[in-house]
Amino acid sequence: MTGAGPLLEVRGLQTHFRSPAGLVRAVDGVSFDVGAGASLGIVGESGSGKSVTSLSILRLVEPPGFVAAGQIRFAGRDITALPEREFRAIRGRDIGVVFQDPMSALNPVYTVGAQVAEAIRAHQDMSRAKAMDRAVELFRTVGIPAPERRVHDYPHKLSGGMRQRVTIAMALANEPRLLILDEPTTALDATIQAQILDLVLSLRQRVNTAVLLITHDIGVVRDMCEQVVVMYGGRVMERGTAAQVTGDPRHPYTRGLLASIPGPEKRGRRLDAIGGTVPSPRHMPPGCPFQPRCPRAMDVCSAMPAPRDPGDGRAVACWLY
Amino acid sequence: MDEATAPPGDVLIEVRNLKTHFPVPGGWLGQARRAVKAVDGVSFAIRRGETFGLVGESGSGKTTLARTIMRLERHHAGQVVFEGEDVLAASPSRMKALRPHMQMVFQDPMGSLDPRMRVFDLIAEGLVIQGALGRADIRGRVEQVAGIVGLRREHLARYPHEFSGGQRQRIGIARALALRPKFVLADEPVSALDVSVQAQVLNLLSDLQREFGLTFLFIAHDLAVIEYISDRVGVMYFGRLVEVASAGDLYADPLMPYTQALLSAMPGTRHAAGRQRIVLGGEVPSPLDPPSGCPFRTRCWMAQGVCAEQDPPLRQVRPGHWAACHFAGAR
Repeated sequence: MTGAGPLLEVRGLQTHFRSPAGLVRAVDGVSFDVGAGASLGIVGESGSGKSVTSLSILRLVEPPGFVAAGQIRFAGRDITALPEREFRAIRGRDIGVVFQDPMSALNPVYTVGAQVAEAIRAHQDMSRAKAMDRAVELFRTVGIPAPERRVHDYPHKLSGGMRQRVTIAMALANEPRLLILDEPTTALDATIQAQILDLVLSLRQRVNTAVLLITHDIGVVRDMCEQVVVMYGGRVMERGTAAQVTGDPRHPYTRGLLASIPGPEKRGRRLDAIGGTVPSPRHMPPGCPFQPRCPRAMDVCSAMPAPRDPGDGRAVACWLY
Repeated sequence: MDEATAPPGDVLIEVRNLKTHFPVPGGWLGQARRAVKAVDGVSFAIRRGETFGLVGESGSGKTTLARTIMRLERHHAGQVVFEGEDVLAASPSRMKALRPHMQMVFQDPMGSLDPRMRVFDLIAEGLVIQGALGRADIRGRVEQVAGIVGLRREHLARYPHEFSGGQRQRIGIARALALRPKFVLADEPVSALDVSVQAQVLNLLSDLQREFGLTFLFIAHDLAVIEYISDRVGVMYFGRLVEVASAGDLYADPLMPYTQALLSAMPGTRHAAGRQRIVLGGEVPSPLDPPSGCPFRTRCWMAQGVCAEQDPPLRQVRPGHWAACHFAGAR
């Protein structure tokens, strides 16, 4: 089943939402791969479709949203077509997930240890006591101090950083082949964010899981991922290695995004901000979604360009290339 | 130490040994009444036309400090001296006279803008309360500041929910500007905005400062934003100011171990040459159970016996560079 193909293959994904004002194409033809043990970051601003992409992979898009077209292959199987029961065996076992808000992933009335043990027992035939021992071990792996005592705590007793470690422990409980992290550190302070990101990096080396990281912070992607996808208006604007995309961006949107980030070398100068605002998914312009804000927009931009390789292995969806 | 962080030059506003404590409800008979010392003896001064950036993580007390300076929170001790006058001791009538000079921009423009008011009335509100201008003058002023922040005339008849986050922040800024303040306290003004829109608002704030000679206290948790916008920077931890220096000095050569750890945690710098990453263990201690001595010692890799015994004062280690650490400058 593993074969030679990538672990996760997303092809032409379309996720739409029905609304009184008409159909909203939140994700509008997105394709990328994540290899076994590899790391890919999806970066974008609000409304870019990055989180809807991750929810689509996890089959957690709720009505009025639906996956309208495209394929999502995990380890060679198209998971969009699987019966829900079969997919549930994959989500939580082969695919672990960590969301921005750990409180939404934790049940306030059970101890954190019991919840991790339950996550294990949902997919493995294991006694309650053994699962609890495994939970203690996982807590140690994710750097929770005094894990033997911590497993008996309720979620509200823990700080935000500790809670996020618990959800990471839960996501790792069944040794997943893919870990999806959706804005995992956005709600955390800088020093706690650094702790969690370091934890994810060290875990990747130890357990060889692939990582799909969703974030608005291009700096986090630069630190964490080998490959980067830049999304805007439901589409992939640029895709390449982290060094290519963050060091030498080609798409005018990626360039604008990087120029917008304040930095020491820009002190005393105006930021080269992108004009205008992120378009609402309800009022997406035809063709390239960045066209109304793009300094290099041309007539031809009223049609969406296919991704093209400018000659160094990356893909840029822009008529300039 | 009170005057220590006052820079040479024309000081517009000075915070002197400010303390804001919140009593903790409950407690048994005979037990000493406890208090959370949200702001615990903070002193600094801001020069006319300067941007003073304040960084800190959640719970550091930066927002309570801001609210205390603006008299939205009751202070426990200390002074806020604005052009020679203690704002915290001012009578209600004096305060009404001072208020137009000291204005605030909030993080969440939606939470600070009354959804039932039109943009025109939101911007005019302070002027109406002030009562110094007639209707025609108020209209003229509102249209003028709306234009300055990049709102169009037709926007004035609309309601806040009709605007994007970036435009709502422009309304919040116009509201503050309408009174022609000398001092603007901006508490996380760009934190809720997307990066591309954040850049527009930062540019707007810089332009306004240049044009009107504004003095800013700019509060943010984003270290890159603070470095970009600030002339001088103060770092808060556990209700204290633990380091103050020019932005250049602070980011190039932080003296306090906490600042060093904070700066090394900036995203996007992991692969940068010459950057050594310091990952702090543990978390901010509970304000109900503060450690003895230096509040950072429980997470500090340099802590020694003296750190548990003596609380290090904020002292000038180098010209213009203050740090609250027993060992700052000694290495």
